[in-house]
Amino acid sequence: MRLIGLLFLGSTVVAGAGRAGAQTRQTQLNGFGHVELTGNREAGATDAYFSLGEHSLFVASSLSSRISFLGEYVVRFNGASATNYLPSIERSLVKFSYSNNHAVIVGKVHTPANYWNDSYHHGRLFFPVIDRPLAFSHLVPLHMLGVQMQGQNLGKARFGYDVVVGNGIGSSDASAKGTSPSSLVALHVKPHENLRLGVSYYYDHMSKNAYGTHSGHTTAPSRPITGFYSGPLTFQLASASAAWFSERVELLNEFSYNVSGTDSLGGARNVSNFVYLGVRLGEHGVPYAFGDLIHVADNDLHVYPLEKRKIGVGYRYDFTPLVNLKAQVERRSERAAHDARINSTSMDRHGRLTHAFGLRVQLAYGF
Amino acid sequence: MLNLRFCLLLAVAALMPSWRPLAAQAAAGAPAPFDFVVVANDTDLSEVSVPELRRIFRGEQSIWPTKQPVTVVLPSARADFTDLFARQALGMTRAAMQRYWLAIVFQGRANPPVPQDSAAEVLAYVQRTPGAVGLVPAVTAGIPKSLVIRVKN
Repeated sequence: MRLIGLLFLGSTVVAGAGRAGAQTRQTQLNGFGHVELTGNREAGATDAYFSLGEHSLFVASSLSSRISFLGEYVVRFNGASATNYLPSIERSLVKFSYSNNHAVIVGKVHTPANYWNDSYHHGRLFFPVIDRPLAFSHLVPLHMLGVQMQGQNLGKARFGYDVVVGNGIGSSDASAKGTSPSSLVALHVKPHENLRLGVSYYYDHMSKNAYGTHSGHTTAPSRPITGFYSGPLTFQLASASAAWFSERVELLNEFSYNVSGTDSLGGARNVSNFVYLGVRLGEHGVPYAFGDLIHVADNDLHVYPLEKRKIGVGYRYDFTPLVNLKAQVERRSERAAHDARINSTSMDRHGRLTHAFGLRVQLAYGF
Repeated sequence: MLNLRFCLLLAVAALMPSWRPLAAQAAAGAPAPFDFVVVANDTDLSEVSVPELRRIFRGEQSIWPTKQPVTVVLPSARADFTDLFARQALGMTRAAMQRYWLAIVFQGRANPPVPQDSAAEVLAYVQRTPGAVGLVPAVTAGIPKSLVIRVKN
């Protein structure tokens, strides 16, 4: 085994010769991280601070001519930890390519529910704006642990499919209650090199409503966890994505429609939409604008009622493919509870809209 | 909601001009210059078109008809033909090519490409690796005929 120090993508590749004449095995290591400066003005108070974002180590390895491994390990701030940081396994999967552009994947994956979760996730370097869309904090199940059938770049339209069956929202990476898995079907086409259109449907029936690792780390209901509804709940999410990323224009729209159903309150119909537009000026600069909203209905017992909107403009400067700087001005509006019956000190009991302004600068890098 | 509509309108307006150069290119029908020789090992390909090449070098094919896995060989940042490669093989800048490959490997959609520092290194790697495919400048000396794949006009 020999170590090749490469500068191609800032990656380190460990290559080992296999049997004579066979393909060289490779392991590629990458790291990603970010640092932010945030200025916030909300309810008459102004805060300004630096923050160290999550850092991820990414491993891609060819185990044989048909089998590959991909892992993503993240360390992020957590005030409850003795060291202020906690590690997590975000992806760990083995992929078997059984024929051209068809594969079976086993392990923990990013739920391919929409373009964003399939393409970016922890890599802030790749984010076109500073944050994930709002839906990622409430509606989108970020991970699945299970089995995935994947096809991509099929035919002239570059058709692709992802079918995943795995542990559901309320499960952990070690166990789950009951035998009902979550499932996802996602389809996409790329009729042009720069264009990807996709739709997906996710289903999960929880015998006991819960928030878990597979729903996401930052996800939290807009209600204290002690008062959380714990009866059965059916969670359905339909998503549609349109992404155009050329050397000049970047456009992304992510739409989600969610129904979470309970016997007592029926189906709560929730919706979210994120739209982003960036125009590349020269090799390095991308001014951009975005709008984001989420609406969760009053009878929702999974996320609980809330309404958030966010609009902003910003400028992204790519120093190299491995370092970029984003500066963003944003206005956030939030109605944390439609229903004054919900009792929480962290939300406005009268359901009024509250507003905040933010000026944020993010330095994202890969190494 | 008004802001969202405004963003959507902006998006549509900005997208439309980017289709025009493509249409203009199609109307002109002039073949783009291609200053490279395709080299590949055990792929069962005898000739390939430029659009097919582009798909291969975008990581859109994983296994050859010979059942060998596709190993894409790219010029590294040290190679002196990386810019030309990115423009002619992928239709993008060097930086865009690097961003593109970094992204699809990070997504788990493709195996990492193998970067090489020179045309000689590309040839040597392809020669010893079944399933490997690369491009070397047409002026490169000593290209083994057994590796050459003809490019269709």
